[in-house]
Order: sequence, then C-alpha cells, then structure tokens
Amino acid sequence: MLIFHLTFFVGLILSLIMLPLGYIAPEWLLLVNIYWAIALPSNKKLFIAFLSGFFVDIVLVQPLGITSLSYVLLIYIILYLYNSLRYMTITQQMVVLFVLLIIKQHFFIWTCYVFSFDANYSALIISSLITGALWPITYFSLRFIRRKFQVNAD
Amino acid sequence: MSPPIFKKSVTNFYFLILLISISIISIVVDLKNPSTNYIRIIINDFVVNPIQYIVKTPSSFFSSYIEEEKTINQLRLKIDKLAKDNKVLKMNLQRITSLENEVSRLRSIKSVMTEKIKNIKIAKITHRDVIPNKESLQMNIGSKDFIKIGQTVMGTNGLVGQVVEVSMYSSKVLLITDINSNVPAINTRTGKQLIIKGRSQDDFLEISFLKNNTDIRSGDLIVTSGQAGRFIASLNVGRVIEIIRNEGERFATVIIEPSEYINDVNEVIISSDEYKDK
Repeated sequence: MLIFHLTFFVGLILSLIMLPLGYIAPEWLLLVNIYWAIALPSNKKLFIAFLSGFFVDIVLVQPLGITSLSYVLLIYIILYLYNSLRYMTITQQMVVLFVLLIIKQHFFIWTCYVFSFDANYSALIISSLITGALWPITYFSLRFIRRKFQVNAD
Repeated sequence: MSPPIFKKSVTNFYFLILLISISIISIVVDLKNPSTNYIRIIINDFVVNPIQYIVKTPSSFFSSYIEEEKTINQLRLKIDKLAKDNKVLKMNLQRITSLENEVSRLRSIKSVMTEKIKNIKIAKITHRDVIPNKESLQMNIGSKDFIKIGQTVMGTNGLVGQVVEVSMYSSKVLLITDINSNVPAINTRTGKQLIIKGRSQDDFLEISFLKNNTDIRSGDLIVTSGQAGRFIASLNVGRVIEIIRNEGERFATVIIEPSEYINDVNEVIISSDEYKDK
C-alpha cells in the first residue's frame, strides 16, 4: 500500500529532475500510472490518474485540469484493454503504447485549441515517443518492486 | 448461466464521465477565476518546491566543492588587488565634501523621481528555464513580499520580462525573448507605435507587422510605450540592428538586440503598481 503510493512519488521526483530538458522530458508519472493500471486494474486508478494530471498541470504552469483530462482518458482505454495488453510481449506493448500515447497527445492538442492555447505540436510528439521508449525500464523496475514487496492491492 | 471468467471491463463508464466533467469544469474555472491561484500556491510551496530543493542539493554540493578548490588562488590575487584599490579609494575619500554639495543639489531635482521609484524590490535569480518550452526565470521573492502577477521585471539596462506565477517564497518570470511575449513599444526617433515579439530561437527580438515602407533605421532606440497597462512606460527594450525589407510582401522583418543581457542577468528589479500609474 505504502510502496504503491511511493512509486508515484518517485515518478513525480523523476519528472521534476528532468524538467530542465524542456520539451523532450518524458512523462514518468504517466508511465507509473500505466503500469499500475495494467498490473492491478481497478476503478481507483482513474482517480489517481486525475490527481497526477493535476500535479503535472501545477508543475508545468498550465490551466488546471487540462492534463488530467487526457490522462484519465488514456488510463480508461488501458483499463479497458488490460487483458489483451497482459498477453503481449514487452515490444508489442511498447508499440501499442506508442500509438495510444500519440492519440493522447492529439487529444491534448485538441483540448489546447478548444481553450485557445498554443501547443507545440512537434515537441509533444517527440515527448510521447521518448515516453514510449522508456516503457521497458518502467515495466521491469516496477515489476521487480511489485514482486519483492508483494504489492497485491492498492 | 454462469458468470464469465474475465470481467469485460473493470472500469465504470459513469466514473470516467464524472472525472472528465470535473477536469473540464476546473479548466474553465481556472481560466475565468484568478482566485484558483491559491491552490497552485499551496501545492507549489508544500510539494513541488521541497522536491526541487532536494533534487538541487546533491548536484550543487559537488559543483560547489570543485569550485572552492579553483577559486582559492583567484581569491589571493583578488586580495592583492583590493589592498591596492583600498589605498586609492582612501585618497579619493578626501574629495567627498565637495561632492556632498553636488549630491544635495541633484537630490532636490530628483525628489519627484524618488517618490515614483519608492516601491522597487530587488530579487535574485534562482533557476533558469523553469517552464518547459518557454524562456523563463525563477526569482527568490514571492507573494510574501507582495509580488503580483503581471508586474514588470527589469534589469539595470532595460526590460527583462513580466511575472507570470507567484508562490509564497518564489515567483516565475516570462522573458521578453519568449515567442509568446508581446511588448507594446515606441520608436524614440519617430514616435511610431510598435509591438515587440520574442524569437525563442536566438536571444534577439523582432517587430511584428511592420509595413515595408515604415521609416526605421538601424540603431533606433526602442522603449516601452506603457499602453495596455502591463509594462511601465519608457523603459529601454533594445536597439534595431537589422532590417530586412521583404520585396513583394507587406511586412518587413526587423531584428532588435535587447538592451539587457538577458542570459547573464543575476539580479532583477521588480516595480509595483504605484509606479506604473505615473
């Protein structure tokens, strides 16, 4: 339980460390969210995704809720597909996540335009590619943590 | 009929709709209502800033240790130089009585001026590039020192930017070199009203929508006009260094070099609203 919440905290710290990288900074908090949504699917994950999006908005000085909207939708899709995702190999999961992340970024850009904000299109696409490429690291390290500390319920 | 082995979905569609509507409401409320800033301030001060401090500590510890070794020799040289300077200064001190008279005379002229610049605060830059994709700075004073969003930030040579976010102990500044930053300005030679925009790819500025046949020359001084009430009037913005008149197009490209060395500035001056009214 405690370990489960600590991983989100570590994800937040990692995103803050990589903040100076600018637009190529990967979304660690989202990756942690995706892993737990596949490993321990439940309704609570949607709420946690909402909260993480809120934090990201505060850190990046965006209108509150604009990131949580896209996070919640992505986690909902993943919670819907978790059975199929579990049967895939890690490379296949990575490819599927690429596609889902790019869909999520397009949704984010669309939201930005609805509320008349500037969104840097190419930067967002590059950042989603980098985030997808970091999926194996997240997957193996979080699986190790889950098995070592016997995290079975959130 | 037995229940299926795997549930089709673990999620609740109505919960999704609820969360989505909450986020949309919060976006709208945040855009329309400035008082949501208190939530940002609380979370920034109690969660984000401590983490940023923890992250910064290990790296700054090592760099400061290396620097210490290097600078001891430099300090010795500096002490010698300062001892010499001290003697010269002591001699100059004798001239102070004559200067005092001059100062009092100048002060009477500037008495109107000092009233205006009473509310100036000086801040140190703590971080750079704090907002991703934007040219920005972080300063070490915040709402505790009565900093507000929209205040003008300047250096000793000219305009630097404006305050865009305020926490209790720190605040973030959007620089004029950012592509989203527009400064209403005036050409001092001709009196022409201009809008100065950042370029983001280099540290220069440019004028947006200036007609090809406008009277502008290289070397013209550009100052803020104070229109729209955002920036204080008549602060130096920069000097024109290059004019490209695009044949066959309506607008010329004019490159401006900022007066302030924006990438090297360490201390900035923030003025409060009272000064803006003058």
